[in-house]
Amino acid sequence: MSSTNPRRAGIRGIATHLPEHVYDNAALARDFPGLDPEKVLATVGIARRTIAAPDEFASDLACDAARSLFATCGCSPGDVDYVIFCSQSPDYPLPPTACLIQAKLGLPTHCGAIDVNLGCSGYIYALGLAAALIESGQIDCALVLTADTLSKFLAADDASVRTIFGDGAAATLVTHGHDAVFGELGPWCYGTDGRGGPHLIVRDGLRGSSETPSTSYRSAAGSDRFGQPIRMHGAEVFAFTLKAVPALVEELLQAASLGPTDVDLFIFHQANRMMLDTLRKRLKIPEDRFVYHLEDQGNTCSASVPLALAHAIASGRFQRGMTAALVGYGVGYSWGATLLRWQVPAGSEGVHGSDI
Amino acid sequence: MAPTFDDFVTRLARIVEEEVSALTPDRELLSVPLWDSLAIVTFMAVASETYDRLVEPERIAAAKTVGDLFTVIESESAS
Repeated sequence: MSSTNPRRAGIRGIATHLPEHVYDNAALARDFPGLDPEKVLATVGIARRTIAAPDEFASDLACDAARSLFATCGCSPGDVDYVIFCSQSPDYPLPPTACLIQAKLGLPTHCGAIDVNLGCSGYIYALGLAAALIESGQIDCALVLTADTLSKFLAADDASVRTIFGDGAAATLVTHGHDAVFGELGPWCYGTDGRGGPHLIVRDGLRGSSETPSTSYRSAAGSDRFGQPIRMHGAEVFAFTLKAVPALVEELLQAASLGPTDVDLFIFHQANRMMLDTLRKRLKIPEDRFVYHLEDQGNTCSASVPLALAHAIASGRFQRGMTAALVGYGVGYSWGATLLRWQVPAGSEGVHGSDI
Repeated sequence: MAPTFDDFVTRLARIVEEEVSALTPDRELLSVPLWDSLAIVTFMAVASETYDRLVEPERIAAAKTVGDLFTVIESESAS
């Protein structure tokens, strides 16, 4: 776990992008007269959800995030030698959205490009792949894009999902050595239980459409879609989370030989306020070391952890010398966690009493 | 804390916005207008936070009355 390992992977920069259109609680209450906007805010912790335009898709959001990353972190498309696009709502079944993004962003043609088909846990998995490619010497610089437009899959008349989900994207540059501004990544903990698949599902695709006839439905994105909307069994997902996530966090701390108080900031997938509160209390994490970042955009699936991390960096909650736990969980079921240690510059270790 | 019926029903009343006196053990859950998917998830959160118990959704779904729901909570062991 030495920070002197020149190939140790870390994060150089993060940028985000949210669509302009917003679906707020007043609009929600107009569509669903039984819903009380105040109660929605108090329980799910969301005031408004950012929703992609009918002609705006996950690759558009991802590319906008990537362009703002290039504009702010002192790197250019030519520096990227691998792009990982992680989403549950890719532009097409094929080709891979990552390949289209290579062309849209003008990344070099010697650049590798793959899609990762994961949602709420996806940021951890995409970072893990990027870190492994870098630390094994295969590549030097990975662009990790996490972007989702779940609004396309939300039936306009399904309050249980429209209350929660928003669209968004984040771009993270993963590199190594002195280029890694925001510090080192790892250890890595992963988990999967596919028995939970049916509890958060879009019954589309080859098997889905053969089992469940496609229908036309009005989506939350404001357009008609032929297929199946997302179906969520909230109680089942909640029960899974209460079991899996505390065990995941304990496993991560053990793998890093840390105690709970050694982590300065816990950044969980921003599912909804009630779930985050319940997890935080089960894990006995004080509120000042726990991030809530969903009020203004909702649960953005694969983009939620990096959106929360970027906000923690921008607002000064995550600072040099700190360790953050990144924890993802959800659709699959799939879960994963890692640590991000924002190292103190060489020569100033004593000042901060660093253990990294 | 260990669940008592009085404490449980006070918390349930808050979730479904009803009077405690209206939530008798034989009250059918189907007759409680606000006993919906959000209420079920809120109930699971309360069970975790207050009683340190993880309740399986299918056991909640199988509960027909307020009394059944209390039995579900009472019979789970603290986690």
